[in-house]
Amino acid sequence: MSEEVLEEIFTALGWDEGARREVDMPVEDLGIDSLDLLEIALVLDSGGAEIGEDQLATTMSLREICTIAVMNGYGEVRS
Amino acid sequence: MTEVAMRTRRTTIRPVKFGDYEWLFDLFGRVESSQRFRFRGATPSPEQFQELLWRGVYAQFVVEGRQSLSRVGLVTCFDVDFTNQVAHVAAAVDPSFQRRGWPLEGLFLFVDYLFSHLQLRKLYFESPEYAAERFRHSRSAHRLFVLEGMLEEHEYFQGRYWDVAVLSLTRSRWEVAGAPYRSLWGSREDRG
Repeated sequence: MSEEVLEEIFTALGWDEGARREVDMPVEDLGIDSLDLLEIALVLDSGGAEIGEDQLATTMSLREICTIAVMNGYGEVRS
Repeated sequence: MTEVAMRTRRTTIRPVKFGDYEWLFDLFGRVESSQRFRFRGATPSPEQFQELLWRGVYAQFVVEGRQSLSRVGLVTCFDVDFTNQVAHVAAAVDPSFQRRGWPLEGLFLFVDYLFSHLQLRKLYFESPEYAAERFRHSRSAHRLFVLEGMLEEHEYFQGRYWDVAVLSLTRSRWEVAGAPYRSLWGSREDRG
């Protein structure tokens, strides 16, 4: 899992340290709704990842989201 | 003249076509989407449906996924008050595309369209309590919306009355908080 991606997501969403430990829990169980997920998608977009329609959902964990981001080129291109 | 994007990375918004009515009728026939949208549980006939769909509407677009080419929702601006420069906005997302985040790109594209085309200063959104509760805990929502008020026990659904939150998004707030959205809305050639 990319710590850099995780850190940017946490910063964008303003999560505290407690939430940062829950990387394997579905994000909806952390109180993340569709709007938060859109913000995550924008963070990943700005980091160079091309996130497709089926690649994000509130049922996914942070670990899964970060893995998808790296697989889709996060960090390779900076816009 | 300011260029208005009609596409984001993952969505397109386009006018409603005759061929969309069957899909829209099915969409609003589902309990969850009709409850959260303007019909509030009513089940109009197919003939009434078209009339109701456009009643009080100033602008309305279908949101499509650019990758799947699927229709994912509808965004609507209604009850425009040009004297006070306010309007109401509603959005319906197909249940099979909910909880994914990206369909909301279409909603914010629509917001940008409205502020670009109309001399409006504030848009209102209504959200039943079960959705508004999430808003309260969402930093993303707080960055964009202001909770203007709560209509207590306003809406009857599934055996109980629910509070309805009235949220607003002002032009000035959108200009600042909406910048991250606009900056990622595709290349220049993507703009309509």
